[in-house]
Amino acid sequence: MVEQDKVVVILLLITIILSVLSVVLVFGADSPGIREITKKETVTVGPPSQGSIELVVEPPAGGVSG
Amino acid sequence: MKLTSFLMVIAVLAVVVSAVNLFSNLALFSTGYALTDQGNVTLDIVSILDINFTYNIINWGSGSVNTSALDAITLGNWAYMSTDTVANTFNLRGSTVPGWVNQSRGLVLETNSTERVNITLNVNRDAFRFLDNSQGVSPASNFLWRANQVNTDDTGSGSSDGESGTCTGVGTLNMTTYIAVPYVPTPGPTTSIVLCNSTDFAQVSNELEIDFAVNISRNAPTGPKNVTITATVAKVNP
Repeated sequence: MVEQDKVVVILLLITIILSVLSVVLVFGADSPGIREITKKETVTVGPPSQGSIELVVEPPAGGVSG
Repeated sequence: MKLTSFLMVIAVLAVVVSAVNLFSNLALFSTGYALTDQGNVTLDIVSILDINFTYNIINWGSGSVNTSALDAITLGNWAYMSTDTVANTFNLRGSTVPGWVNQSRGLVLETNSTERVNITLNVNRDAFRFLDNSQGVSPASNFLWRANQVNTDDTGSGSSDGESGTCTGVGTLNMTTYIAVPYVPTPGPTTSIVLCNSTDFAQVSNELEIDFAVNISRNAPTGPKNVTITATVAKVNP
């Protein structure tokens, strides 16, 4: 009789502990605050751009050559 | 006795229910709940540095230096051509020589970057050899540049050319006197001349018109003279 009472008490204590753990998990773990932001910068550099100057030099008009 | 047995059953049921509840909460950890109160956010910012000559050819055609009248100042004759409206003069020290075609529009450079950029210029021909035939003449031949960022351009085509507010780098945009474009066998920003050390990138202020001028001595070897102007983009130093 006394032994059964002890078992019941122990079981109830286990129940209480499990319930408390459950509550701690639900309310304790659900706090996903953002504390750190990592910024990464990627720079893509395009190729040089090219333009052109074009002209043709003909023999001097005055008949004098360099 | 019966009451005790009943309590025993109730206690066992309570333990079972609590255990099931606890394990169901543990399952939440595998569905996204944080294990700690600290989270990390990684932010990747992609920048593009890109420039493009939207008008990329200046073709003066064929012509020759007028050597019929000696220049009292330079002891020789030379031709001078530019793409601006002020000094479109052929054979500045001599009489008009037909041939070379007037060009009033410089190269137009647009930046398509997502941030301010540094732009440098160089040319792939050595004017001393290319136009002076490696002979010392005065004035020495050169490929010269100056830029403008005026909305109304030489050709009157409106916004197709320079746009005001493009160069935001204080004191770096040469808009007055023509200066030489450096000859760089291997293009590189460290040996080129800075066109603008900080350009805007807004759609309404991202274009520069670069006027070019060239003086050609009478010593210039005859034949085609094709010169490549290279603009290189780099990130603005903070």
